[in-house]
Amino acid sequence: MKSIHKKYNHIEGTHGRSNLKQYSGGFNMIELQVALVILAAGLLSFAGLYRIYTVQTTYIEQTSMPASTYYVVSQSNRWMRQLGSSAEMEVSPGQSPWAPAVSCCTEYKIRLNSLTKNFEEIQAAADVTMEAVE
Amino acid sequence: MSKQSAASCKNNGGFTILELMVVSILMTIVVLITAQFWRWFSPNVSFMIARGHILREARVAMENLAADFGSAVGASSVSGSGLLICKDSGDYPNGIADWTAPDVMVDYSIVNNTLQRNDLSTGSVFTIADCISNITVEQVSPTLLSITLEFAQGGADREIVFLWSSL
Repeated sequence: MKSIHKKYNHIEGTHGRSNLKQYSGGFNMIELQVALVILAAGLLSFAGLYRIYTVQTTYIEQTSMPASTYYVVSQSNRWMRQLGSSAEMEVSPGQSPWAPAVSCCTEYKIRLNSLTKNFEEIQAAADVTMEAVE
Repeated sequence: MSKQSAASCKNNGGFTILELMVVSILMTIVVLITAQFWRWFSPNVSFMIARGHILREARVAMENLAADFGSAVGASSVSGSGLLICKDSGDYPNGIADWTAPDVMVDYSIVNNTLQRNDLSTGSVFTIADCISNITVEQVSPTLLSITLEFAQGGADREIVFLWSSL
């Protein structure tokens, strides 16, 4: 206490003793209010974090699964069926499935030698042997 | 004893009862506020986590069903709580559900709240997704099949309906 007293005396000169007495009296109302405001701000920041979390989760939910009813449309093209392409998932009815731009008069029998799917890049590679159907 | 040393002795003696009471009251208020906040915050976070988990499982189930329905030429209900898909296969897929080789039959069913995919042609069984409480397969019309997947976990639930037409 002596050193503190000396310090206050050094800083504030002759008024040090009265200031030290005031300082040792505990918290005053302003300090208490400031502390409570900081505490309230901290709690509100948690509420804000939760709000952000809720909004982001809802956004992810809506973008990745926007509806509760889906119309599953199988591949109509024989090649696509044989290559194991996924069905089209539509959120509204009446849409035709995607068909590759293949058109010819000759029907082919396809022998699937190997099939490699890369799900991450949504790609598929197939080795096929085609024989014309009479 | 001088005034200064008396003040020093008084100050070095620790907290007064009043100081302790003020600190205790403040701490009680802080703990009560935190407890109330935690009571509100904790279930909500758990609910959001459950929703996220259901979303992930539903997405996986959906993509697997889509993969099998891509080459599906026939699908039917198995006693209302199972799904049997006939996939067109062979060197020359004929576009007709033969329900036998070379077509591939895949069965979906619920076992212990998990969706299991059973490839009847190869006998391989995979667990596709969990948190599934029920699957309902209903033949709405001769050409329209409705598949309802119900997900539930931690108070959160979600229902997804697939409508597949054989035409």
